[in-house]
Parts: sequence; structure tokens; C-alpha cells
Amino acid sequence: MSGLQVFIQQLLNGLVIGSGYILIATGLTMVFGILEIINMAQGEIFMLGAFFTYALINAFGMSYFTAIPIAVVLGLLLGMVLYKTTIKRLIGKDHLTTLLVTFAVSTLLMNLAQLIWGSTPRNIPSPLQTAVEVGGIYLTWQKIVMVFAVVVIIAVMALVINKTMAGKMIRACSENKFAAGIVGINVNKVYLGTFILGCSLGALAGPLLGPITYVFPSMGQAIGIKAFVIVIVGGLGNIPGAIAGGVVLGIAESLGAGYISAEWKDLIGYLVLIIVLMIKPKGLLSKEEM
Amino acid sequence: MAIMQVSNLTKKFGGVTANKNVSFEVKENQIVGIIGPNGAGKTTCFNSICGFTKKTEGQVLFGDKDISNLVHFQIAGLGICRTFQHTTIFPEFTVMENILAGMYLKAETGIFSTIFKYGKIVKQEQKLEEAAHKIIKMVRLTGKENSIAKNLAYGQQRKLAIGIALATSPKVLMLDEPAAGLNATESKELVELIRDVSKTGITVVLVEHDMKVVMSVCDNIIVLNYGEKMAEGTPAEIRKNEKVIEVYLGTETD
Amino acid sequence: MVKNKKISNIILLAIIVLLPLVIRGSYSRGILILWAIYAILALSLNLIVGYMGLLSFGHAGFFGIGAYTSALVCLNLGFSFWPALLLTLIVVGVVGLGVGYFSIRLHGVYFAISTMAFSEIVRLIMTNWMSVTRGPMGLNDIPRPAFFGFNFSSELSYFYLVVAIAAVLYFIVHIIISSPLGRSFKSIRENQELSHSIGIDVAKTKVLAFTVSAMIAGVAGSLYAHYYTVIAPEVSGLFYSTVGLIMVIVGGKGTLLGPVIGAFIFTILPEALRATNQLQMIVFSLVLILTVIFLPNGLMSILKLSWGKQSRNKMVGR
Repeated sequence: MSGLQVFIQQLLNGLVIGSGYILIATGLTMVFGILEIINMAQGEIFMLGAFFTYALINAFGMSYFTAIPIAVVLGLLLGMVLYKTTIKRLIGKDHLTTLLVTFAVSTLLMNLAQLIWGSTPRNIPSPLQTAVEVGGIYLTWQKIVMVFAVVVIIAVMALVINKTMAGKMIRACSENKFAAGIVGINVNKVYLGTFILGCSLGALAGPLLGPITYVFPSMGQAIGIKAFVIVIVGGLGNIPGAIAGGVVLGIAESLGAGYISAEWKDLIGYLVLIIVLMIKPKGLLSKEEM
Repeated sequence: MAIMQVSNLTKKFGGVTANKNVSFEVKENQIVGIIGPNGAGKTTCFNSICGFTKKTEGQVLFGDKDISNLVHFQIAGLGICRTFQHTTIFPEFTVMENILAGMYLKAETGIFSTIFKYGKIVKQEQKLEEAAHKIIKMVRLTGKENSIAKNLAYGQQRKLAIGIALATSPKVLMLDEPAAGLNATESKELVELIRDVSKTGITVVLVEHDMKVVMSVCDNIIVLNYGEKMAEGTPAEIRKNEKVIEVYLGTETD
Repeated sequence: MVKNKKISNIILLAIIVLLPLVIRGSYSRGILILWAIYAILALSLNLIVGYMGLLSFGHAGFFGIGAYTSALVCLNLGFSFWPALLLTLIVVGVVGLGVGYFSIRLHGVYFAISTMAFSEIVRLIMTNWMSVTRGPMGLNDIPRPAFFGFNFSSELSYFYLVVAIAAVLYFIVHIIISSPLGRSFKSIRENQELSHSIGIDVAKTKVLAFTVSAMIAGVAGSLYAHYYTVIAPEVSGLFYSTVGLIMVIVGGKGTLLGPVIGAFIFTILPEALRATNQLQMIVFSLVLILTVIFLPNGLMSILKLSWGKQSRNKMVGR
């Protein structure tokens, strides 16, 4: 492989991981934008999305493609249960309370998964694992499909948010909840809707990334922390910021792993976080007011 | 003698000018009122003087010390203490603890002396408590020493806020709308309290809406309008000032 | 009031000291040791979470640095436990000062996430700096402490060592929080704006509290390393930050005794119930959720009510 080919290969691998980050981080930042809650359990929703798919395929003999939508629906239902039991009690509470509770939820889900599936890494069998070679660069269909799926989802989301009534309601709530309530928007419904949408996005990342990485109960923890990093760097509540942040972190990690050291690549995200927070203590593109 | 001298104070928020070239002087042991219609820039002026926002331009002298570039806690350390428009207390503390907290600057708070000279700290605490009782008496909260602050009535909380400021032993006490939300009796008590404070030699500067309070207690009044100083004078002079009557009395409802 | 409190503290200490008489067997006593170590970790976390209202997800970082520093200087430089502990205090103090100085200007969420990033960085360094930390294999053969020729090799002696250190730290924290310095911590928790206005240098005070808290967590880490004699990078994993937070919040944040009780519930009860690790964590996270939502001041608030005592900490001198 030539130097250029290696570079492009790393870039594409980064884009693949980055698109996974995008799904998880977009859900996280949306929820913050509307509910003003950082959902520390977002990484675990992703992990469960992957395990649901694994279980549906292995225990029920489903095909990969039928398992995906069901896993996402399960993630959505989980989001609904979480919202009804816990999250709705946190709205308007201070960050100490919200962070602690969602953090406890994340610990809960992780240990639940460990209890059910054990901690050995599992593999999601995907029919898309065949490799393609274009000009000396190797990719699996899985990776290609994943990037395209994320692009489509982001496009659909942009359309929904900008063109539909539901999107208008969401935007209204993120601008000014009080006023949105006065003009007759059911703010609680928007909260619920946003939260389960955020969970669905996280859950979808599971079956997409799962076949590329392994599936294990603590996988959500590392990726969850990275999603916080992305969301903070991109600005809390800022969706384009999360998308840009996801791509940049994915690529930076991939290049870092390829050219500097695979062991230290996880450090990149944290270093970016520290540098950004040193310069701008509230993130690069924060929509939050002083 | 001027204890505080504000010259050409200007504060801009983005494109909005909240204060423009405001200059005035506060004489020692005077009670000075800053009044003006809503949005006239009174609180901004306060915040700039006390170091709670960074001023765009201008100078503040305290005695002959330039405090223009100091921040809040440093300014408090020099002896200028302020209260806030909204009620600002330590809600979970008792009244006594609130006042003791206000005495932070007088207490020994080094980590090493705290750990290694604890006996001294305990003795010092007894002295501070004695002083605190005097302040509690002054703000008329005697008997409430052990009540949790958040459980006090609104008017009592306002008094406690002033008590906390007094606990810092300020040379200048700056009150931001002390009468806000008080009923007539409470306002009257407040006027007495301000006079009592003044009698102990403390200079008082207050931002206030309630004209009765301002007119009855102040030696000197500064009128702000659209961020600029419009007039200055004794209550009698201000009452007669045509410009003030024009912008003010038409809109003042309380 | 003071007398009562003093007496109840002495009784508590006496009960703890007598515990090994009832609880025998090296395994059970090992649990007691773990309790005492966790109590120190919780004590440290409580100083900033409970008394200052700063949420740290990164105390495992200090716990881990404490464990590794102490172990490494003993293994590589031939230090004995006591000078190693002293050096650990200095190292963790300096790191705590640095992290505190950087992160204290960040607000709420940003602060919490940056502390979490810190502990992850520490864990990554421990995992990957092979030449010093031996990577994922971790360190072993860490010596047990000795004192004038007496070796703390038995469970019983080590338990008393940890309890003695814990008691000293407990007393120091007690002194701090009941002094004007501690009152300034609580002032900042209660109302930051007002704290500025009464002359508290809020940033400096926060960094101070954070540093002291980090040092105490470092001591806990050091004691952990010298007890188990084997450590791996996981000592800086999120698990230990979680454990610390659970103990503080469930026990009762902002009270001295709360974290000790929290640590007891976290370590000793599950042993009594013989629950598996995962089941324990599931139950504890549920308890944590319920506590935060329905009992924000933790179990201590129930205890205080049932004792019919004043529902809050008294200040100095009474």
C-alpha cells in the first residue's frame, strides 16, 4: 500500500467510527437541548442496542436486517420506560441530581447486561462483512452501509426538524419552553418524544457498529464518555456541532492510531476536550447562554 | 471627604450601552440613593463598582485607591459590601451561621492554622458569635438565631441579607433595591435600619425604586436615565427638578 | 450538644475497634478493611460533593495515582510504607492542585465531565506506560507496611492501621468543616454570588478543597495497594468513582457520618446477603436513583429524624 492509500484507508476507517459517534452524540445533544439533561446512560443504550440485535439473531434466529428495526424499537421502548420512571422527575432539577441519576441508570444498565450476557465479548454476525477493494483500499460493506445509513438518518432528521410540525415544536421548545407552553405546545410530549428519539439513535448505533467492534457490557462506557466529549466540544444542545465533532474525533482517533500509536488513540478525545475547555470553558459552539 | 469617587463609568453589553459616562462622588458617612426608571442602568452601575461585571471604561476610586480593575471578592476585602436585588442568603444555614459566614474576612481561614491551631479557631469563633449577636440585633432578628434562613418570612430574609453584608464590617454598604417587595411597615423598618447603620459610621449607597424610602433616608440622590446621569442633589432639590419630574413622576406608580 | 457528639463519635470508634472480635476469619476481616478504605475514599469525595456541591466523577483518578505512586516507590526505589505515603500525599496533592486549577472554572456539567476525562486519562497512562506501570498486568508484590519492626501482615493489624488513619482523616475533615474555612466551603455550595460579595475567593477556595479531597483519596488508594499487594490500571476505572459517589449520596452527603455508613452499606451488607457483584451494583444503582430523587440528604436524614436531634450540623464551639 502506498502512503496515500494508507492515509485514505485511515481516513475512511475514522469516518466509519465517527458516524457511529454521530448517532450517539446527536441523541445526547438533542436531549440536552430540550430537556437540559445530560443523559449519562446514552452509551449504555448504544450497548443494549447491540446486545438486543445479538440476542434477536442468536436466540430467535432472526436475520440481521430484521433484528435491526426490532432492536431500535426495543431501545425506543427502553427510552420510554426510563423517561416515565426516572427522567421526567429530573426536568428542571440541578445538574448534581440529573448527572447522578442518569449515571446511576448507566451503571444499572451495564450491570444488568453483564448479569444477562456475561462479560465475554460477543460478535454480531452480519451478512455485510464481505470486503470490497477500490484502488487498494479495503472496506467492508458493513462500513459502507453504516456511513450511508448515518447520512440518510441525519438528512431525514434535518428535514423533520426544519420542515414538519413536530420539528417546529421541538425547535420552539429548545428556544423557549415557557413561550412554547403558552402557545399551546404540549411541552411534556416534546420532552418524551425527544428523549425516545435520542435513545433510538443511540440504540441504532449498536447494530451498526456492533459487527465492526465486539459487543460487551462495558462497551458503552468508553464510547459514552467520548460522546460527552464530542457534545461538549461541539456545544451542548448543538446538533451540527455534534455531527462535526463526531467526524473529527473519529478521524483524529483513526489517524492517531495509524500514525502515532494504537494504544494511545483514546487519549486524543480527552486532549481535545481539555484544550477546548481551556480556551472556551463552555465548549466551542455552545448554544447555552451566559 | 469623598470615600468613593466614580468617574466616567461606561458599560456596554455588545451594542447596548447600559451606562454612559456616569460620574459621582460619595462622601463619607452619607446615605446616597441612585434612582431612575426601569432599565436606567442602576444595577449595572452597582455591578461595575463592586466588580461583578467588568466595566468598559471609567475609574472607581475608594479613598485614594484605584479599584477599577479589582474583582468582587477583592473589593469586598477592601470594605465595600453589596446586597442583591433578589433575596440573597445562605438558605440552609441558620441565621447565626449566615452572619458568621459574612464574617469570613475577619476569621482565620488558612488550611494549616485551621488544622493545627484548632483551639485558637474555637476561641475566635466565640468572639465572632458575640459580634454576630450585635448584628442580629441591629437587623432585628434577635430570637431567630437558630432558625433556618429559608424558613424565615420574606421581610426577615431581606433583613438577613443586609445583616450578612454588615457582618463583613464594610466601610461602604451598597444596597440593591432593599425595599423591593416589602410592605409599608417593613419599608418603614428598613428606613430605621438604614439610619441605624449610618449612625455606626458606615456609608450607605442604595439603588431603590421606592421613592418614599429614598426621599426619607438619603442625603444625596443621583438620578440615572438611559444609562446617563441626569441629575444629582438633595431630596429637596430632586423633588423640584423639572427634568426628573418629567421622566420620572409620570411613570412611577409605587 | 458537643459533648453528645463527642461521646457518640467515641462510642462509634469503640464499636469499630471492637468489630474484629465478633468478625473473625481473614476473609471477613478483609471486608472490614475494604470498608475502612472505602470510607476514606467516601470521606474525600464528600468534602467536595457534599460540602461544596461540586460533582466529581474522577476521584478514581486520585485513588489510582495514590495506589500506583505508593506501590511504585516501594517496589522500585525501595521506600518503606511511611515515606511512600508521604510522597504519595505530595504527588496526589500536586496533581489535584493542577486538575483543580484547570477544572474549577468550568461550570456544572463541564466540571463533572472533565473530572471523568481526567480519571480516564490516568487509567490510559497506567495501561499504556508499560515501562513504568507494567501496563494491564499491573503491579504485584507490593509490601505490607511495617512500624518499628512490626509488620502489618495480618488482617487484624492492617484493619487497625486503616482505622487509625481513617480516624485521623475523619478528625481533620471534621475540624475543617466546622471551622470558618469549612463554612466558606458550604457558603459556596449555598450561594456562590453571595460568597463573592462577602469576600470569599471562590476559585481559590474550591481549588483548596479539591486538592485536600484529592490527597485523602490518594491515601485511600495507597492503603488499598498495600493491602491487596496487587493492583491493575482498573484502580482508576470509573468503578471506584461510582462506588465513592454511591456511598456519599446514599449515606448522606454533607454529613460526616453519612459516607461511613454509606461505605458500610456498600461493603458489608452485600457480603451478608451473599449477592453477586452485578446484582449488588444493580441494587445499589437503584438505591442511588431512589435516594437522589426521594431522599436527597441520604440515610443520615432518616437517622437524624428518628433520633429527634437537630436536623443539621452544628458549627464550632457548641
